[in-house]
Amino acid sequence: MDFGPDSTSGRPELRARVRAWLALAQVSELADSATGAEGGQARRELRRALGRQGWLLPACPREWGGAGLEPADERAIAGELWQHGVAVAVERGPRVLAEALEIWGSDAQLASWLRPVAMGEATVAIAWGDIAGGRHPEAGDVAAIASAGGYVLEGTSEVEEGGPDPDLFLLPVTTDGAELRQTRGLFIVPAGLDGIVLEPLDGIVPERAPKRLTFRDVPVTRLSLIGPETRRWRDLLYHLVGRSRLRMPDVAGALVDLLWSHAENQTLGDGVLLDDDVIAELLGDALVDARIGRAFRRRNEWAIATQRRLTYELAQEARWAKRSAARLAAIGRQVLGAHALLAAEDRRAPLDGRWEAFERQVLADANPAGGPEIDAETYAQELGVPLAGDERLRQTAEPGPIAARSTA
Amino acid sequence: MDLALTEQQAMLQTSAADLLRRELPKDKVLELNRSADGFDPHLWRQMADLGWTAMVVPETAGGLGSSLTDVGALFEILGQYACPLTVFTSGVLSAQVLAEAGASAHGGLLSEVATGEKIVTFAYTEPDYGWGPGAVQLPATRRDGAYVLNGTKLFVPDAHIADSILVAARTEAGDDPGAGMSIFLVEKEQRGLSVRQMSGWLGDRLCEVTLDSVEVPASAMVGDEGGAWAPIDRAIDRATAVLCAYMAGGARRATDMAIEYSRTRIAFGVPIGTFQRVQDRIIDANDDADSMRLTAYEALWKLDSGHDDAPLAVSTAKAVASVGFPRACEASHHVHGGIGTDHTLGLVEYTGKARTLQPYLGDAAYHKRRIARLLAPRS
Repeated sequence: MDFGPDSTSGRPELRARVRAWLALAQVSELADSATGAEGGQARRELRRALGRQGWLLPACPREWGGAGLEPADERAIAGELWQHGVAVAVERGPRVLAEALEIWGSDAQLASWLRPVAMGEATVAIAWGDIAGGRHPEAGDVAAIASAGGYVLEGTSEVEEGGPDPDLFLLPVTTDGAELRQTRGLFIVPAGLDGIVLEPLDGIVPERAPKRLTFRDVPVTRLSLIGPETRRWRDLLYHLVGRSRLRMPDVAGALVDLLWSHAENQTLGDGVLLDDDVIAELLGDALVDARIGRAFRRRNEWAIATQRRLTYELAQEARWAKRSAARLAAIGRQVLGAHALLAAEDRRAPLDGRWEAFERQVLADANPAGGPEIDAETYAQELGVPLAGDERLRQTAEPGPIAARSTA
Repeated sequence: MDLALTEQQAMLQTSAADLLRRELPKDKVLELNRSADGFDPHLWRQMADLGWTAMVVPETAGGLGSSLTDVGALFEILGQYACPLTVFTSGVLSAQVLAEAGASAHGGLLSEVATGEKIVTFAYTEPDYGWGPGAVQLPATRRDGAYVLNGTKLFVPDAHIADSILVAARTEAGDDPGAGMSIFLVEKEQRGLSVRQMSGWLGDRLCEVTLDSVEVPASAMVGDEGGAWAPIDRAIDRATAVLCAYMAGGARRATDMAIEYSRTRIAFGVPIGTFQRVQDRIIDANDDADSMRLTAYEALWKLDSGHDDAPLAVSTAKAVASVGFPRACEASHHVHGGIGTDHTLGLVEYTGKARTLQPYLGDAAYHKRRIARLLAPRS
């Protein structure tokens, strides 16, 4: 066995390069401006600047706009960027798209979709789930109808991330027209097409406010369908999401470090906060949770790199990340006390207001790509626990036909 | 990064599983647990002949000098079969204490531990239970070139069958609990020494060891006078990582029993696995089993590799295991319902182990506070 270097502290030279780049005057100004609802233009420029470095999707091949690095390098770069408040570096959409296209994309699709996103020329937002039915892939309500060598999209979905005006939408779409709506394909759709309506909602994370996305007879070409239509779309989607998570930074681990540092330095009576046994145990809980999350993530990374078969492990890691983030949020409130409620703009906010932002993020992140219930069901199913209607869920993974459904 | 066991480690696990499947079926585990001393000399001899008691003993002392990861791989299987922990008590923890304390004067004993001819246990905890240095208060008073030990050790594993007992005692009082601790080798027949098996729902035999003016020669001291805490701390770290692998094996078995039962037990016309509350308990238990295994092996690997933060990894692993093993068993009981409490099913034996090992070598609270102490100097 060899557990290798810790991912949280690994790649010091790469991290130093990122820090040096961020310290450049024009980059620093851009990063400062790229926050809040007014920071849209600065965010776009920052994306382009990151894209030129190959740092939006560093693990993608250079020819498609990446830097040809490993997923662990991408995690280190994104982690360093996140530490310095560059939120655009930790979006899920580009990474799920990259995973999908790297597995199934044709050269034409890689050129059309991946390269612009990796170069920061286009933003991509994930759109799965509907607001009324809950945010998870099974609840989406967009259908594809075969038409003239392409498809026509109809229905509504919910968008997360991608800023106020995303350029591309990535969404699972019903393709069989049947009542069970099991067969789906993953579509990438340009936002500027006629018939697409995007309505913002009032979300708790301003830069990532959810939006209602409506398709009204929107024609798309076959270039929009990534990979197969399949009855096991949910498994495939989980696979993609799970793989994409390996390229995301260890935000929870970094926050635990910040919390520890705060407790070591915050005076309490004659000593510091960490001298309190209750606080020490709470922080121990947070650290242990973060270490388990890291262990699950690294196991998955190793299994994928060595082409071992994964079953429940991706859903396990996703569920653990969400649940431990919620626990960490609560622990932070106990360690930081009432000050945890304060946002960055309040001068009394601890940790530069990161905790307040993190707590919003935890709630917003709980549901995308499957809420805890869906994570749990997928996990149990892949572990071999029988589920209700199991025979239906385990139907063939072979591609099904796109059903020609009447629009009448 | 490579998280696979080596070919030799996989073979070791296979051969261990073969032996235990044959020699330690669940009926035998139950029979042993119900016997007077919980000890099977025939099984002990087989395990010793396979070298299981010699793995951590240095080659210079007649052992195998195996890596801790090798030892952990073996103990993961022992945990799956709820194997009695005497092989851990003597062959891992006591052997590590002897080796770490510099047992040159007791090299012969270490060789006998390696071959299984002698069983040695380590008596550390006292009525004021704890695993930190301050927990050892039993005095050893120097008298006429010898030492007199007075006091009580509690929760000492396998003392009733041990040939010798390594007793941690205080040869010097002071403000620094890490200073003034020494180790004495006390023979079982020593006058003034008495051993009583403690009773309760215990996974392994734990004993009360009473030392009533037990006089031992100066040559009974293992290592340096007053300097025992550092080697004991190292020995406990190394043994704890191995114990975590054992606990991970037990949690895996309890979890697998629940998964299997959820497929076959029919209620209201469907397998109980179709009920979401059953699924939730199973996947929680699986989280525990997986996280225990990963953190245990990371700790073992870091100890083998000489990483500076190996103690942190050990405390993380034990904090995970002390909570995870009992919780996995409890989840399995939830899934099994009433049948889970029937001894013939076998689950109760794992639950007993989980309960007993939860505090052993430090519970989760102890290890989380230790994590804080280990991390605090970094600022």
